[in-house]
Amino acid sequence: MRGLIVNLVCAGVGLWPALGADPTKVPNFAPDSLTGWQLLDDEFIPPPSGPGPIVSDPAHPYISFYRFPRNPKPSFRVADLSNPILQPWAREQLRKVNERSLSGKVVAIPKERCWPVGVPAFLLLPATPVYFLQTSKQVSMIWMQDHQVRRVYLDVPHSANVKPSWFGESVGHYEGDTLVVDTIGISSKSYVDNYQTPHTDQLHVVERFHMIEDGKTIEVNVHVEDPGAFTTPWNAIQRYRRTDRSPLSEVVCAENNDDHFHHDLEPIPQADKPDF
Amino acid sequence: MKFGTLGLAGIAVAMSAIPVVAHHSFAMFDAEKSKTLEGTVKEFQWTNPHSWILMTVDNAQGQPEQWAIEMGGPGGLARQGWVPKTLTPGMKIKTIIHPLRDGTNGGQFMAVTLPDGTQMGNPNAAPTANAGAAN
Repeated sequence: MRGLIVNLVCAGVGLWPALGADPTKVPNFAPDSLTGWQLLDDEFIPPPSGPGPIVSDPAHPYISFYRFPRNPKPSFRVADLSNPILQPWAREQLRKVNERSLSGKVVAIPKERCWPVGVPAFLLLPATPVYFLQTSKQVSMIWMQDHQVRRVYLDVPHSANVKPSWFGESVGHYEGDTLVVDTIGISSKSYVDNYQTPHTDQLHVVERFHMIEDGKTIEVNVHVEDPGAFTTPWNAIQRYRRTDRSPLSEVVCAENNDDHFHHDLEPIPQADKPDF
Repeated sequence: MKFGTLGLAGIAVAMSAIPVVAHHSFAMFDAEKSKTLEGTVKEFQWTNPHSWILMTVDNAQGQPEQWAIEMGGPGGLARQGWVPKTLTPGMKIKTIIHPLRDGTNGGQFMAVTLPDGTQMGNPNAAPTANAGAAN
């Protein structure tokens, strides 16, 4: 066992989580520094039954530019407002986003303009892999294409008074082959998805990460509750495909991300005055 | 380390197995149309998330207009043989783009012919969102 750990450390990998868990059962999402997890699409998968995520309006189907790369006519999103999960105010806010899309204007989503995307929208970051760092006390998830990082603190309870932050406060634990992540305190400046569905500070997300298909895929089962924004809890699924092309490399979203085509896009994050 | 032994060919194969890797949707471009621009490089911005060619192109009236052409990020371009000085201000080039759907002066990079006749990119790529924009 010690020899195995030395070899793993020398290869620059995350350490086996050891706190109260059998390392032969706990999922290892980062066996080496090359292993990343790649989304094939930037949409949630609806659950087999019951309330599910916002999907595209069937009258204006979203032609995903990631899922259908050979389709010459990718489209911007128009949300299906008939989804019964929406509280009226949330529906109205989505209707305004739809209006922009239907008017033919370019619709930029937050990650394209270098904003942190929050939870569970972190599960919708495509194009480049997500890398995991697992230690005995913490799991970090890092998306390669910008500085979007989640930190999950293992085997501890939530804080008594959580200050809202972009990715919230995540605590987690392993249940056999599954990493269970519980997140609260997600800033209401974020959206829950790429349709820009809003939420309140009551948002509570539970995600279960586990490998399927002989370790080739991570499936995430997502449970979302927010009585301020949604009429009911709802579920969604996401799947990542394993890739080992290259280690995490630096990509800075804000490096040169002006509105080059003058499409009246949301500005990238800016500070008008120092924070200190 | 596995990555170091792959070599460029290996990387190219691996890249084609993974779908599109752009930073945002290309729905703003008309992938069913190609447009050729002949003009002068004003600036070549070798940056993430996308590199840009800013070109000065004469319009039908002979007046110079600025065009902005969006490419992939430096990582993908470097794998295709680009370097930061592949284009320099003042170079006379011919580019092929998928134009913006709204008709304004911009498009998605497909291919360029350099002053010495070298062609970079692929003018005949099937209309995929990956054309000229791999990262």
